[in-house]
Order: sequence, then structure tokens, then C-alpha cells
Amino acid sequence: MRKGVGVSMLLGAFLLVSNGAGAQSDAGQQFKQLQAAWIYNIARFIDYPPAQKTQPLRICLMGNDAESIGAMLRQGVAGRQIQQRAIEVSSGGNNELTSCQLIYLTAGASAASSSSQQLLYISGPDHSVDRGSLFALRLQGNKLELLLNKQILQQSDVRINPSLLRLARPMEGQ
Amino acid sequence: MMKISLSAKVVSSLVSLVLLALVSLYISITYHVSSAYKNKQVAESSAMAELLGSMVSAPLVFAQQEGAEMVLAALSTDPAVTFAAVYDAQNSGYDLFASYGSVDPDMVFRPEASEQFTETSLQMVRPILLDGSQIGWLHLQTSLRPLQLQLTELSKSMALALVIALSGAVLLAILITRSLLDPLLRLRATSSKIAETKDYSLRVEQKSADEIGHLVSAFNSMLDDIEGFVQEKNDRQQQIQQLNAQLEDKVNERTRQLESSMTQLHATLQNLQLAQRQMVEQEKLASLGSLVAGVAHEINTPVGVAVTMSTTFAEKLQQFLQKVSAGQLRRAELAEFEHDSVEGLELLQNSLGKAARLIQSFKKVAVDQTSEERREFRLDEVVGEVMRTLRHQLKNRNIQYQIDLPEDVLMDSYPGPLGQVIGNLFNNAVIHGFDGLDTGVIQICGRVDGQLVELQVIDNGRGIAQKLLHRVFEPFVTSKLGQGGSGLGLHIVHNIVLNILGGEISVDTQVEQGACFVLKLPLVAPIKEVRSE
Repeated sequence: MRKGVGVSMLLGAFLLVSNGAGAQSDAGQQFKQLQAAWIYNIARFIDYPPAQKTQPLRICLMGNDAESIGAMLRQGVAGRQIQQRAIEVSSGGNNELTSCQLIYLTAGASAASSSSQQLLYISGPDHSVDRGSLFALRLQGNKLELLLNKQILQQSDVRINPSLLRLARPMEGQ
Repeated sequence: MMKISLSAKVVSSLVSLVLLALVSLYISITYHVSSAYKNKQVAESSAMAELLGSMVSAPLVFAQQEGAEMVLAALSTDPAVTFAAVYDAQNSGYDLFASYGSVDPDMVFRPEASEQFTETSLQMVRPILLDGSQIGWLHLQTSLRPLQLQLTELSKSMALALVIALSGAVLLAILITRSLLDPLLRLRATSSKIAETKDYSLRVEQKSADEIGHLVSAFNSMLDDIEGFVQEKNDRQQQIQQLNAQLEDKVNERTRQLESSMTQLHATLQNLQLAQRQMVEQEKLASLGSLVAGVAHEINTPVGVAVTMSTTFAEKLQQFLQKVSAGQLRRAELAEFEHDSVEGLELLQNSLGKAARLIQSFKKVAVDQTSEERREFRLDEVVGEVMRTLRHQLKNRNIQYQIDLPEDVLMDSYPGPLGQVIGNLFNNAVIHGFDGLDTGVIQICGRVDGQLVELQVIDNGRGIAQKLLHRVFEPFVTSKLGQGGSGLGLHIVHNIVLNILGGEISVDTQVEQGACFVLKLPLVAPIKEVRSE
């Protein structure tokens, strides 16, 4: 078994086609790449409402690292599709949240406030745990782990792959 | 031929049938159970692989090995699953990501979707897909032990069923055999007794109304028929024997009658032959009588003249002697007596000489006709002499005969039979040809043709009726039957020509225009034994 190499596996799988992104070598960049890979993979386990399936999957990043992570994510998903939908990555400050299907919050981003039940918020490791996000990434030791907000899950119209739900840990207090 | 009893055949057949049926059933059930189990196992394993693939997709994507192993560990609740492994295929090649249980030692993982049965397990490999993309392989190994246990239990059940079925089959066979054999043995015993005693009145008791009972009934019916046939055969044989006996009696009686008839016929034939010979002899005698009559007729004139002359001369001699004694004889009377005596003696000599010649001629004819002597002779002389003996028959009838024969025909033959032939043909013409006619001509002509002489006796009389023509040479054929005709004349002619003279004879005739008998005779007759008819 190859325990302990999960991060490199995850990155390897994500960066296999993200040409040039792997040139970053320092730990900060690698951590951002890891977050980009998590964002992409989480998006693969979500079953989006039928009304959205004719439109590109729009992933919006907000906060201080939105640009850098967004750039890495954009490079990583270039040429890929999720559920036969093209992937658009938006990391600008003028994001129209209603056009996004998945919103990733980094440090400095305001808390998730949309009342739309079709928006899926993911809080990054550097973002304070937001009670409005469905998922939250937290660094545990040298690994990222996925937290699940069951209350949001129950309220949301978005359906999550059970395999991902099984992988996620409930947020504290749930 | 193998001597196997019927009961053994029935038992062995039933046992074999049951054995065959159960083995076939066992094989069929085993096959279907195995097939159904395997299909079910493939379906269940396929569903499980799909579920597992879905469950481990997230741990695989997020490289959460613990998560994958935790999912696989849940398989421990299913004892059929003995091994499961997840391979990561997100990068080039494939790497073992998580596993559960132990794989069969001989099993080598190959990255391709497949299901393969080994002796103890089902090896199934399925791709792990996420959003249509393969992210890994799932290798699932499920044990066939439940199937083996199930088959073992099935085998035990089948073995028990086999024992029960075989026992039942043997028992059933014995019962069937007994129920079949008992009437069959009775049939055999009756058949043997019938064959031994030929007593077809024996019958087999019918104890049931089933097929065996029908067989017994049919056997008894057959015996009825045979008994009837035998009785009928015996009756017919008896009838045939009676008929044979009667037939033999009839044959013997008919044989006796035939023998008697044959004897009578033989006697009759002998009588007929005797009568025929007598009639032939009579015919010859008649011919001789005619000859004698002819002779008498011919010599009557010269002898009469001689008698008259001798009487006249005797009277004149007496008158002359009286005158001499009385001395009254005159010279002129002496001269007259001398002259008359000379003339009378000459006339007397002439008449007696003529009579002598006639007698000599008749004698030759008579000798010829009675001796059948063979000699050389002139044809015209013999025919002329014969005709002289016959011409008296033409007296008082205006019937002429003409002889036109060459003078130098010399024959070495039998003049007597030839004369008889001429005479018979002449008489035939006079009696039959000119019957009721006062005028006519009979021609006898001939010519020499090589070594043959052809004689024709022709008359212009009534001819021969057509109905008699083809039988004219047969004996007793005559147009004067009952009027004195013997019917043997032409028959004798035919026999003489063929058998004595060695020639042949034919006749050509036209009714009321006459008949022509043609004789072709060899100049030199063959040397044969002369037979007289």
C-alpha cells in the first residue's frame, strides 16, 4: 500500500494535463494546486439540477487567493468536462454569484450569504468555517480533509455523490 | 443367442431406465443449478462491483486509501466475497490502491473487464468510472463454495432418490414380471402340450381383461381357427382319399373298357384287313372273270366257224361217201367235193388258227395277271392284248377305244400288274365314266420322257365329282356304293403303280367333261417285293 503519497497522487492526477502548473515548487503553490484539484474533484461528485445541464459549469472563486488558485484551476480543467459540461472558472471580484454553480471561498472572502438553494459553497482551508458553506476544506496534519455541513445539505437542492458524502466528515457540532 | 429370462430383462430394463432417468435428471439439475447459480453470482457480483466502484470512487479520486479500505472492509459481512481490490488507473498504468481478503494463488490480475470462473471462485474485473471516465479497476473474487455445498447436498438427495427409485423399480419389475409371466407361462405350457399331443381343443384360461388377457384371448381364438382348419383339412383329406379311391376304380374300369375296346378294334381291324384282302382277291377274280368272258367272246367266232365248217364238211363227206358206196358219184361231184373240202379245210384251219392265237394271247395275259412275273415286253403289245380281252364290254354300246402308243417302247417291268392297271382304268371309264351314256371315246396314249413313259387313259364321260376327287384313290370310295361297286378299283391301281411299277398316278377331271388318268412309269421298274392287295 502506498499510504502517505495521497497528495502527490491527487496532484498527479489533476496536473496530468495542467501543463506548466507543475512548475511551481514551493509549498504555498503546491497547497494552492492541491486546493484547485480538490475543487475540481468535488465538482465531479455533484449531480447538478437538470436545468443547468445545458450550460457550462461555472466555478467561481472568491477571496484573497481566488486569482492564483483560479488560475491553477483554470489550467487544470482546460480541455476537460464535467458531466459533459464545459467548465468555466471565474476568479474576478465581480462575480455574479447567481451564475455560479460552485463557489469556493478563500481567505478574505465574505461569508456565504446567498439564499439560493442551488448554489454550492465550499470554504477553503484559509477561510473561516462558514456555516453557510456545504463543504469546508481543512488542513489536518499534512492532509486536507473534507467537512460536510449536513444542515446545508438537507436544505440544498444539489445532490452529492454518496461516495463523497461517505468521505466527508461532519462539521463540528453536527 | 443369450439365454436371459424375461424377468431379468424386465428388471434390468426398469433399473436401467430409472438409472438413466435419474442420472439424466441429476446432470440436468446440476447443470441448471450451476448455471443459475453462476448467472446469479455474476449478476450479484456485477452489481456489487458497480456499487463498490461507485463507493470507492471518491476515496480513489481524493486518494483517501483509508476510505477505500473501509468500504472494502464492509465486505466482511458477505462470506461469499473472499477478495476485493481497487486499482488506481488515473495515471498511466494501474496501481493497487486498496484491497480486502486474499486472492487465489493462481490468479493474476489483468486490467480488462472480465468474469472468469475457476474451480472455487468467480474472478470479476470491472472498471471504476466517474463521470464516464475510468479512474480505476475493481477486482472482485467471490467463492463458489456455496454452490459446491449446494451441489453436494443435491448429490446426496439424488443418491437417496436413486436408491429409493431403484428399489421401487426392482419391486415394480418383479410385480410386472409376475403379472406378465404367469399368463405367458400358461401360454407356453399350453403351446408345448398342443405341439406334443396335437390336441387343438386345449385352451388357456383367461384371468384378466388387460393386454395379457387380450393376448390369451387372441391365442385361444387362434387355436379355434387352427382347430377349424385342422378339422377341415382332415375332412378334405378324407374326401380326397375317397375321391382317389373312386377315381382309381373308375380308371381301372375305364382301362378295362379301353382294353376291351382295343381288343374289339383289333379284331375288327383284322376282319377289315381280311375283308379288304378278300375284296382285292374278288376284284382279281372279277378281273379274271372278265378276262375269261373276253376270251370266250373272242374265240367264239372262229370256233363257231370251225364247228359250222366241220359240221358242214361232215354232212358233205357223208353225202360223198354214200354216193361213192352207191356208185353214183360223178366226176363233177368229185371235183366239187374236192374243191369244197379244200376251201372248208382252209377255212377251218384259219378259224382254228385264229382261235389258237387268241388263246395263246389270252394265256399270256392270264399268266401275266396271275403270276406278276417281271419280264421285258413291248408296251403297245401288252396294252393291245389287254384291250382285246376287254373290248367285249363295249358290245352293244357305241363306245370306241383308241390306242395311240409308240411301237418301240420296251419296258422291263411287270406286265401283269400293268395290264390290271389298264383294265381297271378301262372298266372304271366304262362303268362310271359312261354310266347312262351310249356314246363315248376311251383313249390310251403315251410317250417316252427320258427313263419314264407317260401313259394317259382319257375318257370323255361324266368325270369325277369334286367331293370324291381328293379321296378317289382311297379304298372303298365309289360313286356306285350299294350298286355293286367295291370302291377298290382305283385304290388297287394306286397301290400297283406306286408299290409294284415304281411310278406315280394323278387324275385331272372336269364334271361332265371326262377324266384323264396320267401314269408316269419308269421303263425299268424298281426291284421290289411284289405285294398284292
